Amino acid sequence: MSLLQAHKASLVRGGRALVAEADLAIAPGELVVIVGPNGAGKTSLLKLLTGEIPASSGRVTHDGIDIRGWPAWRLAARRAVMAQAQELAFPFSVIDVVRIGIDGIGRAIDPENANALIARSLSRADVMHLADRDYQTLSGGEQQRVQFARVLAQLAAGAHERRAQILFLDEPVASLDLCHQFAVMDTAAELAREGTAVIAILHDLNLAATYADRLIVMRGGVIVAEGPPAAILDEALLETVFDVRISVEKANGGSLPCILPQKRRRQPA
Amino acid sequence: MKLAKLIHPLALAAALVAASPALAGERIVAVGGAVTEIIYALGAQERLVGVDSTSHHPPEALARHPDVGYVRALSAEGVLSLAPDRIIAVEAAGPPDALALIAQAGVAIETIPEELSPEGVLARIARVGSLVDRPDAARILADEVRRGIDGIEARRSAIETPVRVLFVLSLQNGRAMVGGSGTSADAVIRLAGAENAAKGIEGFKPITDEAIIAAAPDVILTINRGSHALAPDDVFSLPAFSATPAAAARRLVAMDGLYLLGFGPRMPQAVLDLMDALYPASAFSEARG
Amino acid sequence: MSVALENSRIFVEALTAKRRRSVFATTLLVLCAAAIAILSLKAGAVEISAGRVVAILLGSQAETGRDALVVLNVRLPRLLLGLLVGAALAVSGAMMQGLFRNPLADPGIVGVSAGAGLAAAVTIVLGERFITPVIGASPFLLLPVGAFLGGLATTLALYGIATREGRTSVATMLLAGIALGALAGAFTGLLAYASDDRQLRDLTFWSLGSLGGATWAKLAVVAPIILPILIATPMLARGLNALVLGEAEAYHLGIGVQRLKTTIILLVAAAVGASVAVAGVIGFVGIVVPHLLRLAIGPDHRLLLPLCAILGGALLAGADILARTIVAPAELPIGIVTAAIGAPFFLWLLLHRNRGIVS
Repeated sequence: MSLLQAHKASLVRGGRALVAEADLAIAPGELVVIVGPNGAGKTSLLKLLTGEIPASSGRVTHDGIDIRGWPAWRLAARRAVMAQAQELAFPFSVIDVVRIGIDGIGRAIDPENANALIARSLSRADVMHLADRDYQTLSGGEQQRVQFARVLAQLAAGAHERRAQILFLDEPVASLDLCHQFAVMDTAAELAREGTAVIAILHDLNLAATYADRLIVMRGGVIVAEGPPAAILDEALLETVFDVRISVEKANGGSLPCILPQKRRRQPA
Repeated sequence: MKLAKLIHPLALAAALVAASPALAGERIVAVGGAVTEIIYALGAQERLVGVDSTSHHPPEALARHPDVGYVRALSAEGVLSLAPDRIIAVEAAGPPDALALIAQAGVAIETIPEELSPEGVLARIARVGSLVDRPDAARILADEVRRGIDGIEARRSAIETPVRVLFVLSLQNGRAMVGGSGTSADAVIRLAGAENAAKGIEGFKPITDEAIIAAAPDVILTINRGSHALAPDDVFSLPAFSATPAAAARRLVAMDGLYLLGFGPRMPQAVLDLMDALYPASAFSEARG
Repeated sequence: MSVALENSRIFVEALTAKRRRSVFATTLLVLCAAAIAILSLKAGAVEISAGRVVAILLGSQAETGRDALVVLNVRLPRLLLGLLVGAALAVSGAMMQGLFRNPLADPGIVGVSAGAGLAAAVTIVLGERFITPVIGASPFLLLPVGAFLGGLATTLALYGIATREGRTSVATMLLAGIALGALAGAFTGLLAYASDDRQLRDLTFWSLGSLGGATWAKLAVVAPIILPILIATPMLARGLNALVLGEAEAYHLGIGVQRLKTTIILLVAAAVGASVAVAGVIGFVGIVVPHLLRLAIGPDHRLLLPLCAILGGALLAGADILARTIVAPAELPIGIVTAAIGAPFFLWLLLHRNRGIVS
């Protein structure tokens, strides 16, 4: 049985289907990347899968049980969610932000272990040197890495509850420099190798092709293509989904699709 | 507390001079302007150890005695700190919790009924007189007040055409707050043989401009509040008032608030003053209408 | 490796510094509250020596009469009421600010003050005519009950308006709160219009707040409402911390957000309603105290909420000392004292904030 499944899940707002009858199954250890143009419904699909918004029709199940039947604290031990850029209302320190990540589920963890867990997450997201800083004073990229540390801590804290976990990342590298983009995606891939299913929304198709086991391509609320990057990422898809005429090269000995902006062709008038 | 002050020889001398008559009687806190006024009129002021903030007359009352605050917002500990034996208070005094605590401390609380009539004034004088142990002085004062009231009645019966008086308590942003039926202002106006122009209004209420014109007052009556009072220009420059007969004759009468509305021992004099202002000597013989 | 060592040093130091700051702030505040409590029993219009105050508190048989009454039935209930009401207002303020994710949210935002104010106006203005004949007593006795019920009713109405399909929109609540506040204000104005001079003065005094009406009886009514709330609130600290990240994030972190919101709103309505009922409207405590503490010890609600209770109580009890001694034997409404101290202090804080002391 899959870890997470969507059965014809739709999200309708104001008479418009933001997500239309999405069917999806996620297995442990998979790194799935959702791509698509702006307004394709990527974030809405993520919200359905995380349980943040109940489906208007169809259903989302975790372990075969409808997500609405899961209490928040049990879901929290099972999956962590890193949303897009986050503002804090109050000047929490970096340590406190990460600690908040485990507070909801980490009641069983004693303070000593909790501190060790926070320290490991800070190091893994490369923000340990910011530990005593006020979150509000950090740069956008630094804040994003702190949030990444927070979801890592949450997964680690929830690990004793249940083996197979899911990590949702909504544009996790949007504000990051090249080095940290790789660092975050490497960590995500590492988690996937350890058995955690990772579902990420990315805009960079090259990054998506590099890390994804499976691509989910959305347009207009509909999943239009699904499969390994090498199999589905071609010129026809780019043109139909992104309205861009660009040639797809092959890197890494022909196994990895690679898109170079220089190879864009002028749109026919 | 008193002992500490007596240690200083000068203070000792001063305290003896000031305090010696007080040894004769109880320590009293007066709550309400009319109560204080009666106590002074009876010559029992040496018994006062505190007055409330509405005790404006005589002026020395608030100057010489500690102020225990607004009549409706007394402080239990504040009053108790004056170590009174008795509180003589108007009906409105409060809050009830503070009064209950004061009573619990063994202080007698005497409430003086509030009746806006000549009989009410006489009853107040008699009551306060017996409470401060000055029944004879109270009788003399009451007789004097009764004579004044008789004088008012005699003069009132000679009035042929009552003038219409509108009592204006305040003007805020050009909105007039007037005295309707059931108010002390209404009672005083009627005692002075005039007619309250604020008909159909109960209590002190803001009134619309049109209602002022419809009331057609011959005289505007108002009160002085300390240094600042309504001047005729303030009132008659307002459109609503400018259309009244009072504006045509520029008749605005301003009197001290406690004097006019307090219903204390000065009531007859206040009413006579008001009559003087409302019916100048010439107006008595002159036929109006 | 040395970089890693340096980094872990920062981590350990940050943890130690935070712990040291918490211990220091807690100790300081407890000492400060104790000092104010002692001063509060000693200070007042009636001069009583410290020795006698102690003897009276210890229940010495020799100490009876006026001084004993003043200490035991005037100052002590007043002190306790001040501590309770101050704590309730400050903790409610902190919870509202957490819920609305806005440091300027006032406990009054849930409509408690507006509703309580309206109910108080009804009691004061119409009480003598309609209530006294029924209960045969002064409407003043019903004022606390009326204010409490009025505050609670407004909050529930607001909550009902803002809740759709089991989800409460905090933004809707804020907007509806402004509308309901204006409506309650209009009715209060209407009643003020219909009131006489004396009732108007009563309304004014009530709306400025006072601990002057403190009695053991009132304390016995209010303490069972406020104390359990103060004891329960630290349990909401984790949820409030998570809420700082946003409602969706709090849900992802395992917080039952809807239940948390409902709980906070009801607790605040009850605590503030009870406070307003016995002490009138007292401003600024709910904003200044949490703000000051956030500057001193950070925004972590696990420490913030209990310290808010201590500082709020101490501050109000302290303000009350001023309120009843400055113009003794009369007294000032405490709302004037808290605003007169709170407003300039708040401005000072804002100026320093702009100079970069805080973010």
